[in-house]
This record gives sequence, structure tokens and C-alpha cells, in this order.
Amino acid sequence: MLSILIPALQTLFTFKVMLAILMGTIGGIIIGAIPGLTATMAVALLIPVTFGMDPVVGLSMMGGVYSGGMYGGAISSILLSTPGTPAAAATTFDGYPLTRQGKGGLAITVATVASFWGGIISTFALLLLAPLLARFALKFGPPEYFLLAIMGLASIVTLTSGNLVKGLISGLLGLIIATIGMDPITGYIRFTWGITDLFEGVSFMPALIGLFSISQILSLTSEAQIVQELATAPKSLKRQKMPKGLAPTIARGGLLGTIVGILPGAGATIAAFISYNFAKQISKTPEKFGKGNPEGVAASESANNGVVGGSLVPLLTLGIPGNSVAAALLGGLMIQGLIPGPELFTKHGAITYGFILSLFFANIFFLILGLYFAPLFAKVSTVSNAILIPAIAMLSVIGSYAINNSIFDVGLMLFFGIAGYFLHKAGFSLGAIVLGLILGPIAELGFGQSLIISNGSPLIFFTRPISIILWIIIILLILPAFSGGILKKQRQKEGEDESNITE
Amino acid sequence: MKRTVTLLMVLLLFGLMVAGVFAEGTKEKAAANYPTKPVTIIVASKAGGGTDTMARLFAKYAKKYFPQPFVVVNKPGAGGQLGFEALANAKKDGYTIGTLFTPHVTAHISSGRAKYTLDSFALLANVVTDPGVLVVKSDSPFKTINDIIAAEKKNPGSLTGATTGPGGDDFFALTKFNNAAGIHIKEVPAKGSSGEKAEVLGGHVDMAFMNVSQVLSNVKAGELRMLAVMTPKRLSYLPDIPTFKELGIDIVSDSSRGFAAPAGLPDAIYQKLLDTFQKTLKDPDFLKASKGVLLLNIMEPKEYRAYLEDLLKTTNEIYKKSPW
Amino acid sequence: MKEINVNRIFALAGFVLSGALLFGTRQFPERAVSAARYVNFLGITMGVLSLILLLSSIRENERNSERVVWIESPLHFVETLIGIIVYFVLINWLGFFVSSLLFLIILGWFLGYRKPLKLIASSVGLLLFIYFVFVRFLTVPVPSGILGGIL
Repeated sequence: MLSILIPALQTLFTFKVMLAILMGTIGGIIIGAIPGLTATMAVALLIPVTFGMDPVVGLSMMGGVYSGGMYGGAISSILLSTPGTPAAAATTFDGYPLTRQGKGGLAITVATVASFWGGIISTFALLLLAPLLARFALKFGPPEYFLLAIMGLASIVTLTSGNLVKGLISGLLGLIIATIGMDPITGYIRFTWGITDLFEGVSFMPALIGLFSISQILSLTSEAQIVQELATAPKSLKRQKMPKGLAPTIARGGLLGTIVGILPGAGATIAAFISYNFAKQISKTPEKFGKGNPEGVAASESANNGVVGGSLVPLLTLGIPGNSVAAALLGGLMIQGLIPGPELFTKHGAITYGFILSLFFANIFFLILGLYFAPLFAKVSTVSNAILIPAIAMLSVIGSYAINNSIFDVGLMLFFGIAGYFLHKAGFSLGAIVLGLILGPIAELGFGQSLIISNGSPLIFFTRPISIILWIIIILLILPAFSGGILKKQRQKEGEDESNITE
Repeated sequence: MKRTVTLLMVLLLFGLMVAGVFAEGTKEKAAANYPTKPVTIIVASKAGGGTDTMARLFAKYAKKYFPQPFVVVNKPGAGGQLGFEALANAKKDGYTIGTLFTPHVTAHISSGRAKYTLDSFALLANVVTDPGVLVVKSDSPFKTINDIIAAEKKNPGSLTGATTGPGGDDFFALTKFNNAAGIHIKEVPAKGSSGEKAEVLGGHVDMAFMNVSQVLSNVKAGELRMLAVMTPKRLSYLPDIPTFKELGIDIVSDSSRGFAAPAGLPDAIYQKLLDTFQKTLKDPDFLKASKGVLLLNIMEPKEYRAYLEDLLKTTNEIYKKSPW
Repeated sequence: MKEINVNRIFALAGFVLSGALLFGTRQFPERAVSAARYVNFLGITMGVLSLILLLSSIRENERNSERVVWIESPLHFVETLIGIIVYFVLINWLGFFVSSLLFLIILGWFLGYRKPLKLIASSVGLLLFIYFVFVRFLTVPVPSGILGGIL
């Protein structure tokens, strides 16, 4: 292996390649931070451009875009409660409260370091264990995907800080909205009233932008600044040290992200939610989550960047792209004549390993950039709301338009934003709605597929080894939350105020 | 008062006439000067997919033969229907063209949901044809399609096959196979071709109805086995794989991707576009770049039209029997 | 409005939604049985959860319930809401860049920002950034409006 790695490393140490990684990473961070612009778009754009280029230059640039894009989503999530990428949605839960407390710089520092380690862990997994992990990924069949979705839905219980019934209703509402459009099994088109734009269902990104970002700026209209106490604000502008004790959370998140990443069809958003849920469950002080706990940011960000390396495992070994960026990357490989499979690691080893190793550099670049610019980014939160509110609204509009080039989606975004504001005020959980929206289609498809395979017998969900493990994890996740819920109610009676996710 | 109104009416009429003549004049002039600004290609799927790559590669190499750039605009949604409709309703001035992909473009017509017909498009060229293929995992006991038919007849309803879901070419292929062989393989719809691949490689389904380009690498790596392709003749690049037809089951199915302009654009402009396509699609650099990414199958407009009309008949028939 | 009253209203809305789903699936054709089954499951669960919400809100004492403040600063809230909606409509006519410039400046002013030069400069700067990232760098189109193509 070393005999391939050394020449691969040598191909990287040229000015051109390093510049390509740096440009890719910076471009990725910007694209990631702007809602609606995706790393997929940038990679698709690069495919024809990179033909005729040195393959390592082209691919390492795409790798930079992917890594930078995944990280960049955290910045707008933390500072503006506007997830730049869906994967950063869970980062808002604790990142935004930190900003409100004047600790935006700290939150970005934590997100940067967590993203970095998540990326490094998963790249190591990709480098050393790719074929083994790919075989594991294939063991996941329809029943396991269904259970994975249920595991994600179990997070609702944890996410809810107030009334549990309302949290469950919120998640259910997400699931119900997700049934709009074509049924995955029979192709019957449900609840669209003939609107073609809804045939494929409610577009997720516009709904997410609306729920998180528009509802948030409507709340902000009563305040002059995002940061609640300006006196503490200058603190956020100074360089901040990493809080101690985050290492286990980050390591867990990175591993979890890698595992979820190698499962095609699960994705970074789910990885981040599950990791957040885990961190809260394991924590001795779960009540701090959702109110500005750096651990929450670390859990979510290490997991979504862990997906980057993970998603390349099935792509490079089996030609199965786990998400849309990986699918675009497949195009980038093919145009260079690189066809996924064992040959990629032998005959084309120098290029493939060069590409994998370039991910390490992409992670290092965004680590340096992120740590250096964190205080500068954090300044955004001290800008007057009179400037920020219109600016966020404008970004939300163009972001929800760009994802499908659709004005309909902009309208959808506004609808979700206004409805989300009132639901939030009424004590419903917007995070749970989002979870329902993402997981609904996965759960329904997995459920339907399983029953076709088993001729309608539900036993299929209980007889397979991985399914049983997943059931155990689900039960372990839910149990403490219920007992915790009872404790919470007692505390509530004692008059302790409950704050909700985005407050 | 009355006079003022009449005067206004006359003035208005005159104005409209002038505007009409003027517009007519500019139209001719526009055709002669065409193109004076970039041409948009509406791609009816997401960035990064097969159709998108085709359009972007074309845009890159068309530069040599066309004075203005081609700009790709993705308009995904509703299985391409949103993009096809946007193309059909686009201004007929030659500054908007778009992609079509089958069988969706005719499947939407068959299901009665499309707000366009085949006559809405002035076809330019078909570029890619990705033939359908039946694959099994390499350790599967099935060596030929007859093994499958025999196993299914012995134990009806015991086999499963992955497709990309109702209304797609894989679904049509499975339905045709079931009808032609008198069997009932259960359809397991998956999420896209990557979902199908994961399910068949993982052994969760017995077979998958896919397209050649999606499985070539896995076949080469010895992970999947092709049993038969759904083409009229054997493929030049896969001479060892039999067709369904020669095995006695008449199935032809593929997924093709091409370009069209909205019908009704001025003929001079259409000819200019057609010329650009014919030159670009023969360009050696384009051919080199598309090697390995696109399974080229260039069809001229006439042939393309016949292909689509034929396909429409097929999708109509399937919709009658098993609607989606 | 007290929270328990809010809960009661939303519980009733949940019942309506639940009923609508169950009614809706009755229009599904025979072939969509599995699709209907899933929706029915969701509908029934919604009904049950709404019932729990309703019962618990009836049991609770109104005096212990917290007040829900729907809108804290009505003037700015309404200005922002109307601003965004007008902006959305305007984009269809004037295209993205012109309407965004107007929106950024006018809403900023209405929300109390009183340094015109800074306001204009920051709005123009932001839009230039968007222009370069979207139009130049990624060639992602922005809405051009009926008046067309005016950047």
C-alpha cells in the first residue's frame, strides 16, 4: 500500500494541485454557506471543465468543494439560523443560541474543529477500510433503511424540550407533508391538486429554509440585534479557545457520520440528527442541549463532515453514489476514464489515492481558514437587524429559487416560513417537522419494499441480524427520553422556564 | 367626447399596426442575425446527472461551431415533466432549447398528465441511448433468463426485481418481461439506479432491471452478471450478451436522451441550431470527452421522431394495462 | 391567548387534518392500496395524538397556563411580512436584482436603519456578491421577471 501512497502523495505536492484544493475549498465554503447553492451544482459545473486536465487536479478540486461545502453550511446555521445545507440543520439547535449569547465566534470555532476531525476520521476510514466497509453497507436492505428512519424519528423525543405530545405531532406533521406527491411504490400521485410542481413532493430545501430562516427573521423583528446582550458581544470577536471535553463527542460524531455516510440513501442530514441525538442521550446534562451547548454543535458538525469520506466508499468501490454530490463526482471520475471498482485502487491507484489524500488537505485548509476567520464571521451577528432581516430574506428567496430554478419553490418557502413562525410560537417543534420531512420518504419506501419482498409479512423487520441491533439501539434511545421527559415535567412545575429549539 | 374616443381608437389601431410591422421586421432581422445572445439549454433533471453531463459536454464543444455560448439551466421535477413543459412553452426565438429523456417524455403523455404533446417539440438530435439490461448478482443461480422463467413458473411470486419505480423504463421492462413470459416477478421500486444497484449487490432482490451504463463497471469487476439486453440486435460493445429477442421474448427498452427546441421557431433559426448539433456531435474532441460517460447513439430528427412515436405507442399500451 | 387554549385549537385542527387524510384516501384507486394504508396510519395517529393533546389541555388549569405572545412587535412584524410578500410578487415583474435592491433598502429603512449611504452601500455590495457567485461563478440563473433580462 505504501508503494502506492508515496507516489500518490507526490502528485499532490505541486503548486497546481495545492491551488486547486485551496480554490475548491474556498469555493465550497462560500457555496455551502449560501442556502440553496450546493456542492453538487459546483461539481457538475466542473465536470466538463476538468476534462483534459490532469485528473488529480480536477478531482482534488471537486474534493475540496465537497469538504468545504459541507463545512460552510455550519457558518450560516450558527450565525443566522439559516442552514446553508440541509446537513447543517441540526447545527442550528445549539449554534444559534450560542450566537444569541454573543458566542458566535466560539460556535464557529467548535464547528470548524469538529468538522475537521469528522473529515479526517472518515478519510482515514476511506483510505484504510474502503472495501470492507462497502461490503458492510450492502448488508443494509430495505428493512434496515426503514429502521434507520425510525431511529432518526426517535430523535423527535429527544429534540422536544417542551410538551412531548406536541413534539410528536410536529414530527407526524412532517411525515404527513412528506406524503404529498408520487407514492414510491405504486406511483400514485397523492394530494397535489394537479400541481405539477408537487408531483415529486414538497421540495425539501425550500421547506427547510422557510421553517428555519424566515420564521426566525419574523421573530427577530422585535429585536435590534441577534446578539441579545451587546455587552458580551465583543467577546465573540476575540479569538476563542476550544472548550475542553469535546473530544469524545467529536470522535463519536465522526465515526457515526462515516457509518451513515457509507449507506447509500441515508445522507449527511440524517447523520447529523442521529449524532446530535446520541450526544444528548449520553450527556450527563441533557437539559443544556438546545440552549447553546458547544457539544451539540460538535456532535452535528463532526457527523456531517464524517459523511464526506463515508459516501466515497460505495462510490469508489462499487460505483454506488450515496448522495447527489457523490453522484456528480461519479461523473467527474468517469470523464477521466476512471471507472469505479477494484481497478481504481490498483491500476489507477496513483490518481485514486491522490484524490483521497487531497481530502486531508481540503480539511486542513478549511480548518485554518475557519479558525482564522471565525471572529470576522461572528461580526455578522452584531450587525443591526434592520440590515440583517432584509438580507436574510433575500438570501432565502434566491436560495430557494436556485435549488430547482423554480418560483413555485420560493412561494413554498414563504408559506413554510409563515406557517412555521406560528407553529413555533404555539410550541411545536420545527426541528421535528424537518425530521419528519426527511425521513418520511425513506421510511415509507423501506417499509413498502420490505413488505413486497416478504410477501406482506412484518416478520422481516425482526428476523435479520442488523435489524435486531437497530431495534435495540432505537429502544435504548427512546427509553431514557421518556424517563427524562417525566423529570422535565417536574422541573417545569418548579417554575424553571423552558426554552425551545430556536430560541 | 365621442370624437376623442374615436380618435383614441384610431390612434391605438395605428399604433398596433406600426408595432406589428415593426415586430415583423425585427423577427426577420432577428433570424438573420441569430444568435446575438447566449442560448439556454433547459435540462429537465438535476445538476450532476447523466442528462446534465450530456448537456454540459455539448455546451463545451459547441463553442467551436456557434458564435454564442450555450448555458445550462436545470429544471428538475416531476420526472422531467416540469422541464419538458418549460421547453414546450418557451419563447420560439431559438434562445431556449432543452433536453428530452425517454421513456418519461412519452410516459407523461400516456398518463394524461403532460401539458405538451410530441408536436410541441422541434427535435434536434438524440445523443445517448442507454439500453435496458437484466442483471443478477454474480453468485446468483440464474445463468440465463430461461432459468428465471423456469424458477418463477415452478414457484409463482417467489422472485423480486428492482426497478426505479413506476413510470420509468425499468418498470416498463419488468412489466413487459412479466407479460411476455407469462410470469409474475414482483416489482421492488428503489430510489434511483444507485438504490437498485445496492439492492441487487446486497442480495436483497433476485434481479435488477437497469441500464447498461449503470452496471458496466460492476460487471467488469465480477460483481454483477448481465443476462440479456433489451435491444433489437446485440450491442457492438457487448457481443457476448444475448438479446431478449433472440431468446424468444420480444422486449426492447432503453433510456434515451436528446435535444429539442420548442416547435414553431423560425425555420432559419432551426436550421442553424440543427447544423450546430450535427457538427458538434461529430466533433472529435466531443467524441473523445464523451467516451466512457455517454453511450452515444446519434439520431437525426426524423429517426428520433419515429423512435418517440413508437415509444409513445408502447407507453400508451402499458398505461392501459398497468397504470402508474 | 393562554397556551391551553392554543393547544385546544391545534388539537381541533389535528382532528380536521386527520379526518381529511382518512377521507382523502377513500378517493385513491384500487391499485394504490399500499399508499392509502400508510396515509391512513398517519391520519389515525394524528387523530390519537390530537385527542391526547385535547384531553391534557382540558385537564390542565387555565390559570397555570402560560400566555402565548403571537407577535411581539406588531409594527415591524407586519412591515417585514408585507415587505417579503410584495418582494416575492415584484420579482416576477422586475426580476431579481432590481426588486432585491428596492427590498433591501426600503425594508431596512422601515425597520429603523437611518444611515442611507451605509444602507445603499451594503445592499449594493451584497447584490454584487450574489451576482458574482450565482451568475458569474456558478452560472445559476436568477429570476429575470416579465420585463426580462434587466440585471
